[in-house]
Amino acid sequence: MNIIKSVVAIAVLYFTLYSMASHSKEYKIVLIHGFQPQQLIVDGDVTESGQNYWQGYWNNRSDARIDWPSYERIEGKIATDYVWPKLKSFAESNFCSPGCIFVTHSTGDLVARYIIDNQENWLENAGLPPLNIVATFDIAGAGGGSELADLAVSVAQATETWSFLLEAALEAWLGGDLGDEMGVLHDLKVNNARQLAPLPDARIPRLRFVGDASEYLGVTSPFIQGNDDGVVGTHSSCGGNRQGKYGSCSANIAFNGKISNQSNAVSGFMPYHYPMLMGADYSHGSLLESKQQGKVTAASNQKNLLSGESIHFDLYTETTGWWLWKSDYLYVQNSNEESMSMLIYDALPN
Amino acid sequence: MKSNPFLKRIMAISIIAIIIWLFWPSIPHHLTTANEQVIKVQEIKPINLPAKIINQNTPLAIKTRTITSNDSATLVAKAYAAELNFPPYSQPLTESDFDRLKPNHFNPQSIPVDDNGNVVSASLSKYRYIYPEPVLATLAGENIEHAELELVDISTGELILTRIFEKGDVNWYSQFEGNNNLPTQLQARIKAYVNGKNVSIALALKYVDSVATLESFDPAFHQDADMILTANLTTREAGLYRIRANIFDAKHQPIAHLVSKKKLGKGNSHMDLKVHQSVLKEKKAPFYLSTFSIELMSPAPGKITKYGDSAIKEYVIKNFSLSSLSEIPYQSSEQEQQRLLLLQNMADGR
Repeated sequence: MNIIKSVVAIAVLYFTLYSMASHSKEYKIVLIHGFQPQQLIVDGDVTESGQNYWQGYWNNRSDARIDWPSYERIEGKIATDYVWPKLKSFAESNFCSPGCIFVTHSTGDLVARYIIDNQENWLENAGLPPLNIVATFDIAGAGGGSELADLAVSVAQATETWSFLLEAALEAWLGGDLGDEMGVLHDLKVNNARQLAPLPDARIPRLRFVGDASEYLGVTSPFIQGNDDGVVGTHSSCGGNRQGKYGSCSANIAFNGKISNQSNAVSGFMPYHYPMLMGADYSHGSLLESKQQGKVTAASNQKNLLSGESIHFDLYTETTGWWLWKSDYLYVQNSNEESMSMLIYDALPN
Repeated sequence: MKSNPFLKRIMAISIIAIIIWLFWPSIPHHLTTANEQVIKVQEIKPINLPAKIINQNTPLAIKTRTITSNDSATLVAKAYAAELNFPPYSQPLTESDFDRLKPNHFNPQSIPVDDNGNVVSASLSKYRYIYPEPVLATLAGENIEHAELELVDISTGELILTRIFEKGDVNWYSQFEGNNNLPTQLQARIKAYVNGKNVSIALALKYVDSVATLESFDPAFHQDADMILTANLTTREAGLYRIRANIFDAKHQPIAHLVSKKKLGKGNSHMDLKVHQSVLKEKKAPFYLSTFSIELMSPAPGKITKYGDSAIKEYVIKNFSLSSLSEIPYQSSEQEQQRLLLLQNMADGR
């Protein structure tokens, strides 16, 4: 009987360690979520909302989360009441000493940039060591702002709207009428977003993962500059250094993986912002989920990253069509089985 | 030829063979050279990295069958490694670096006035104004009958001032003088009367009082691999200051973006901007220093960043001998090496 007990105990211990190991990575993963429109309409529990936000895939694969309410401003209570307690706790416990990777979604990109620019000074002034942030993985990054926020705030100033299409777009995105408190929507306006801690000194690589589909049946897209994922334009999600009507993060790869010259690709990037993967069939929200939505392509290329440096690499290439209609497409392997978030997680060093 | 059946047969067979060849469907297959080598323009110098991971002789090609996002990571790792050849305080600057060349740019905003594609657009002459600069607003669109600008404190909803738009040759213009005590959360609300409809556009802006003034520069001198430019400032508040400037060559082509941070007291202060020899190679003097930005960084969460102004628009660097600079390359920091290591590991699929 004792032997059976011992075997069972060892087996349980083994499986426990195995399951933990399968979710442990070399670096600490910290999640920072994005704008949650429903919080502008009905206040909810911030921690619970944060947990729900990531439950589709990332929650069980992370080591910590920074949750914040959308009805506050980033430089105000989001910084004092939600970001700072976490930063302080990370510093006091040396949580980031092996290196922290921030995985951000949407406005979380902007929150992360504000943290990167200020954490060292804040923590040093509090007598604490700065955090060792190794990189950020920015999914559908809204660091360049969203035109939808510009329009939502403008419409909220007026007594009436004169465009049915605009009303439909904002209704689809926000899910209802806004009250007086617009909180982080102000930070998400393109001009405000692009001026909030725009050029942090710390040279932290910011890796960009970008979608090009809409979960709102395309009703929001006419109001967003360039290609978009239903909420943010390519100028923001790719990490472009200016607002513009861009069609791809890459000068020689389209969103659908087609290898061809992209004349309207993002022409300049914010410092240390590197586009990694693009998925034509991924929308703003589906980039976070475990469901595969279509093949994914590489978003990096020589022209926009390497200033002509000599390099070559191999990728899975598929040729379709006949003769004059023949096209080459570049895909990331496994992207026909795994979701974008799975590919991102798999890429993290173990 | 008409009478030669053999030639006719040969011709017919040839035509059929050519048609079959031309329209034969291409079979999807894996290629191993999705991106060919491009011309080597910029030499990437070896940098000081952990021997185990960073091997400059490691082939860049990735095993095709095992990739996920590794290929993109390879490019990103190379791009990041290239950036680490330059110190953070003296980063190469190109004409595509819009955010560093135009740090106070205001992105115009549009709003539809109907569902037929008609819009009105509004913009400010810049995003951040320093007292006593006047704020200039422009409004464009068809059938504008009249318009006014309201300056509003977002946090309280208080209306601070109202100005009427005047019609110019093409657009409408309005301006107002600020004061040195305006609230931090401002919004210029533009109300336009278009085709009998009231249309609102909310523009974000900052209007601040200067906390420091850049007065002058001392003549440049060399120190090891750096050209040193000492900035003389008058500070009205103590704290951690950050100065940015761009340096241009004799033809006003961008060379580098310079950054410096230092804790300063109140009164007359000095801060050094450094230009590393790596960005000055083959550049022609005289050099021009401009696009000055002075920030008093946020000392704690909830305390906003404050800004200074410059009494000079441009500083010309003459009679500096580039040969006086040593050739010592920049050695990246331990943290920068760890960040590169992460990207290298991702590229290697570890």
